[in-house]
Amino acid sequence: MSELFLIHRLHRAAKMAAPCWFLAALALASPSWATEFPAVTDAERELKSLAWEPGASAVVLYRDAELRFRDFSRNANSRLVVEQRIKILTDEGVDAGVREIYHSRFLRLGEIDARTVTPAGEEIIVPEDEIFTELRSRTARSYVTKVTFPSVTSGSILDLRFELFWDSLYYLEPWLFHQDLPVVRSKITYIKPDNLKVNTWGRQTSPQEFQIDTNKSPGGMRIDVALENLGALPAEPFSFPTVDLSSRFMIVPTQIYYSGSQIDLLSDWKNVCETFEDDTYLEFLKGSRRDVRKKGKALTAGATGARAQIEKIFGFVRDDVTTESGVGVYVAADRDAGDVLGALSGTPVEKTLLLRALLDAVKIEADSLWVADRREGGVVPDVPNPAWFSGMILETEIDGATTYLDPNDPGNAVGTLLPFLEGTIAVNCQRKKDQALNLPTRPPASNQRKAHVKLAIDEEGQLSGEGSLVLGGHSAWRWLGVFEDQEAAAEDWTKRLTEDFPGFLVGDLSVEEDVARQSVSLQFQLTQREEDVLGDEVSLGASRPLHKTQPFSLPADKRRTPVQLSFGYSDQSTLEITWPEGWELDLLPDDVQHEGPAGAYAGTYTVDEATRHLKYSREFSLGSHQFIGDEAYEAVRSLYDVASTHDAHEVVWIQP
Amino acid sequence: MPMKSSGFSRSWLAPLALLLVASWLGPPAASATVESFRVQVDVAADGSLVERQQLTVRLSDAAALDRWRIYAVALDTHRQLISADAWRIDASGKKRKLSRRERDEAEYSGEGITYSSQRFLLFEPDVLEIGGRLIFDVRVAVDPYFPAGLIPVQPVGDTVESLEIRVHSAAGPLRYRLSGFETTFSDDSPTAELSESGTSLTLRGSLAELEDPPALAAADPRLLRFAWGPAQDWPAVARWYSDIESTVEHGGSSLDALAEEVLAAGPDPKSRLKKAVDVARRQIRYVAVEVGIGGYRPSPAAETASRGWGDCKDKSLLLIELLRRAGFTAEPALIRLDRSRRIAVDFPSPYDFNHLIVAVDVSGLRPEDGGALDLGSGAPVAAGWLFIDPTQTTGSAAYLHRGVQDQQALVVTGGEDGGELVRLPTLPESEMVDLMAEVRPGPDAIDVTVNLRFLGETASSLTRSLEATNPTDLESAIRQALLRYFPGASIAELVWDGRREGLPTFEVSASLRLADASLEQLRLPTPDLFPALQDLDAVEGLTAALSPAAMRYRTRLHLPEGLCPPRDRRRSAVTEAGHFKQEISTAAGVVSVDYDAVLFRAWHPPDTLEALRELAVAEHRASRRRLRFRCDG
Repeated sequence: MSELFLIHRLHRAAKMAAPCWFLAALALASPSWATEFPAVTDAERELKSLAWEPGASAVVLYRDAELRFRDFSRNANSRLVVEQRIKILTDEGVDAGVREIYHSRFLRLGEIDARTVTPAGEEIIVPEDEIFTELRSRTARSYVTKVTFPSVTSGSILDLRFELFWDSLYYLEPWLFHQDLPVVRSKITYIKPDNLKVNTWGRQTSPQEFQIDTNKSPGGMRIDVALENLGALPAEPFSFPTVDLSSRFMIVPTQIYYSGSQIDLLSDWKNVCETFEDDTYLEFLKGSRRDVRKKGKALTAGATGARAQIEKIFGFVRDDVTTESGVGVYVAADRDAGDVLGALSGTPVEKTLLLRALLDAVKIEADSLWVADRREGGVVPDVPNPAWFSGMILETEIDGATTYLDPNDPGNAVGTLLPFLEGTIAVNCQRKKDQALNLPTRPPASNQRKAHVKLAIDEEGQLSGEGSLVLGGHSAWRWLGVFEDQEAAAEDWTKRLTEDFPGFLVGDLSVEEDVARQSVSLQFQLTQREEDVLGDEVSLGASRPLHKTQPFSLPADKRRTPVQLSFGYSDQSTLEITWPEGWELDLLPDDVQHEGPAGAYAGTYTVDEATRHLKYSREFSLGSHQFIGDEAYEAVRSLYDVASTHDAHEVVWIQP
Repeated sequence: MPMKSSGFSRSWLAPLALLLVASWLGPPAASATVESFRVQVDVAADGSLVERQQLTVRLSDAAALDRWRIYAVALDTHRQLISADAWRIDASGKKRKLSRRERDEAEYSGEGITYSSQRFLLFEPDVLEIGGRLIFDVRVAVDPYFPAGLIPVQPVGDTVESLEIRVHSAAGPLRYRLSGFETTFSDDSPTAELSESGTSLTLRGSLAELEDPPALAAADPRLLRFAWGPAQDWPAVARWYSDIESTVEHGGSSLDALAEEVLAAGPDPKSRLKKAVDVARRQIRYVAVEVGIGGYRPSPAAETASRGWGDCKDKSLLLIELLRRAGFTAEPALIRLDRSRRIAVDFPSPYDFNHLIVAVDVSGLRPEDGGALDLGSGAPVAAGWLFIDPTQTTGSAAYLHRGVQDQQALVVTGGEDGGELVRLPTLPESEMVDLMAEVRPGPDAIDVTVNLRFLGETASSLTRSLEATNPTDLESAIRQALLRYFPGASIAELVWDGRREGLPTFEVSASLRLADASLEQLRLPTPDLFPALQDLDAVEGLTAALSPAAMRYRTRLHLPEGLCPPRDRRRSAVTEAGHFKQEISTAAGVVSVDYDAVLFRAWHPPDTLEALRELAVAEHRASRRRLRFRCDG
């Protein structure tokens, strides 16, 4: 299906670290091209602030778009017209005075109209020489056009209208109703020709209901979807991505009747999968088959058993093939496995497919899974849409166990599933049915951090000793493949531990990284700095280096979005400390035990006065990575409250 | 890239713009090896020049492949490409010229700049392999804006096995200055040789891989600055700018309207100054567009006034014209907006400047000189000039943000000798955190009331949030700040307010409760103004760059019955870098714990670091020692 290749090329056109340009374009985003902007109403002119959104610097008064699907019978392109009116409410809102529109040779920018209406009611048309088009890539012919509104002050109204054209039938991004500014009205109108069948899908994240109108239009159907009075998307820490927080709506073309025949489009996963797997991926895999086969065999020479062979091939693709930037699950029509092997460079999907081709060369079967990084938004399994997915991994079996292969992160081993994929929906296009599946989640306890610190206070009141830190699972993965070499790793860890142990010199640090076992082990020496030694008093936070601070400062009734963290995990730390005769323990924090729905925290002090030995054992566990709803939020907040409070406590010794 | 200057278009809101450009331009400091880096610059008699850059890079590992996937050549209206070729040599020694499809071109304005004529030729080889090599050969014709240039000697920080930079001038004798070698740890300084005629300069050597500088270190990039023709001094640079500015149209009806507003503010200079600054800052928003010489030449003030936007030089010129019409002597001041790098004072050229502000002659106008212009204490005045940055959106004329404090400004006063280099003052007291806490231990909990006041930049940012952020988001940030002082506290009452006029101020009042807390476990807030000791260790032998600021913490602890007051304590450290004072005393059952910390200067050369360390140690030790309330002696 050539249309999909076109979409891929559209995406690749934004070659240089583009934000999701489709969304960016939409973010700026009317009805058919009008000659004049609607008159500013008295209510719009008099609006000074929003009762339902205090603190807003500006407000989108309306953001209307009209998306007309390509009509092959009329030889008309797909077209999106966006019209937006923004009111500046405060001095800080003037930053909304430059708007950007991303476009390319595939997504072509048509007319633009823009004007400022000053608080005094004067209309100032944005002159052409204040609309700047910046070249983003000459080869891809990709651009960003920046509209610079004149005379923008508090009280100004900014009107913008532009149109975009493209040849494809598809528009696979949902319309996002919420913005980072509050929105009084957001509306999208879809106009589809009669010969196109579509599915609609929408999700509301605010109490307001979609207002949907469906009407017959000349030669087709018109569907209007609107929402009103939407608050700005909150900027809260550890939240879900914007796309999940916004109310959204989309239309997916499922069938087209053309020249007397019916062509299935995105009707179900089977169709979508066939398009990609049969028409795209298999073509990619066929390329330079002889070279690929030769390479696969060469790589596995001497390796016995499937695991050993997979590890050899996986290691090669992960380490020796550079990862280029890519978009979603698309591959270029003019590239194949041989090209990627020759260049030793490919997009994440190309690398994954090369891995599949090399495994196939040694007769190891692996299925491609489309996966969605949850940081970029979740998958809606009822809507067969390849644009939900951020990449591809492989699924194979080793000794009867399902094993995932993701060669696009240098810290991944055979079997590593990135934390951001865990618990998400994936699609296996090689299956004939039940393509959508849930990816598993590692038990949080396996993402462990274990610290052991042994210190002694000397006669002068100086602390010194040693420590170790062992990381496993995702807790290790986040540090694997990060550093260029061991020296760099040691340098970085020394810096980190120096921050974790203020007043100490960290030395003789050794790091052992084991990607295959997903572990990181550190050994280090600690010596209290001379400047830090008080002579008659020693105080120490016993939870270091795994101490916590409270990231959730708002009470539950004020938190507006659910919490999403990287992964659940557990910490165990032990501090042992001895002190000399003549010194005494002056202050010992209380033991603590907390167990709640979000996790547990416990700290126990054991003192042996006879041997002048103290042992502190601390455990912290976070049972999940998602906390949705007020109760769940309060649970995770309480957990961190307890942990941060007690981790701030210190043990104190004095020399009377 | 050699000879590339950025123009003056910065705003105090986007100080990282240059860094972002740098990181985008090419690979970061790394372990790939540049086998040969040769630059040949030929300055013609008319001052134009041709620059040829040849580079051979050995790709030794996968990381090097990643880093050298794109190689960028900066171009602009005054930097035109003559030729550009690139080859790759595979591991077996086979050489292939990069094809047209392996070249791209892009424009990149940089953060904070809406549009610029700066563009880049990008080499993007399809195939790179370990053991292979890349060769670049680029020739560019440059029409310099000023008879000087600068060449990054080690542009991407890689090891350079063979460095050779040759500059030949047919436009008069050359001068040069090599920087960035004195203050780094390696001893790989290349040797420079000037011919007897003084018209040929050769720099040769080999360079070790550049390590990341310590966090506190002032930036001192490895640069070869060079200039030709008659010796230039700062007045010459000022004349150069005056000449550019003289081509800008003055006056215009939209400017007249604004000037009338300023005059209508009142007959006294303070009202007029306030109004003019207010117009430039709040009626004209910051938008930067630089095309060619437009990177240096401001737009006519009337144009800026009518469109309502402009960059630093546009806003400055507008303010200057308004102030002149209001009876002030106001001049442009070229400056570097940078908290970690300064201009080369001994090598006059405009290329180190990246920002333009306004200098107002206040000599004779202030009350101490018998005038009526009362700016209050702590105004940014140096050498009789009041410095105003019109890109600021908060504060009065008497508040200058710290991005330009302690930097050298070139005040362009016009005429043959009209250029004065003035070091801007540091104003630590205008960048303050002022905390007052009342601590009342009860039977079940410790109650704390906190008044927290921010002055200066932090206040500015928070105050701006009042007009831009949902109050709940702001509350979240404020709660976070309070919890840093009192971990685990529940916050019962919380109010805040900010003021963007005068000295930007943001105040927070809160009632906190620490349930099940013991007074002895309570750590009272202590300042953390001075650098961490390990960071001072790391910067030893180098110049440290810091932000002048002050902290004043006061705690009043109402001692419950059964506990004894801690010992009175008074400690202070006063050095040329600043001061730290701690005072603990008890009266009428209330323990007072007071801290004052001030950092005077931004730049701390190696021989003054000890003075800084003394303060850091005093602050650190004071924070380590606990208050004991037991009555056991």
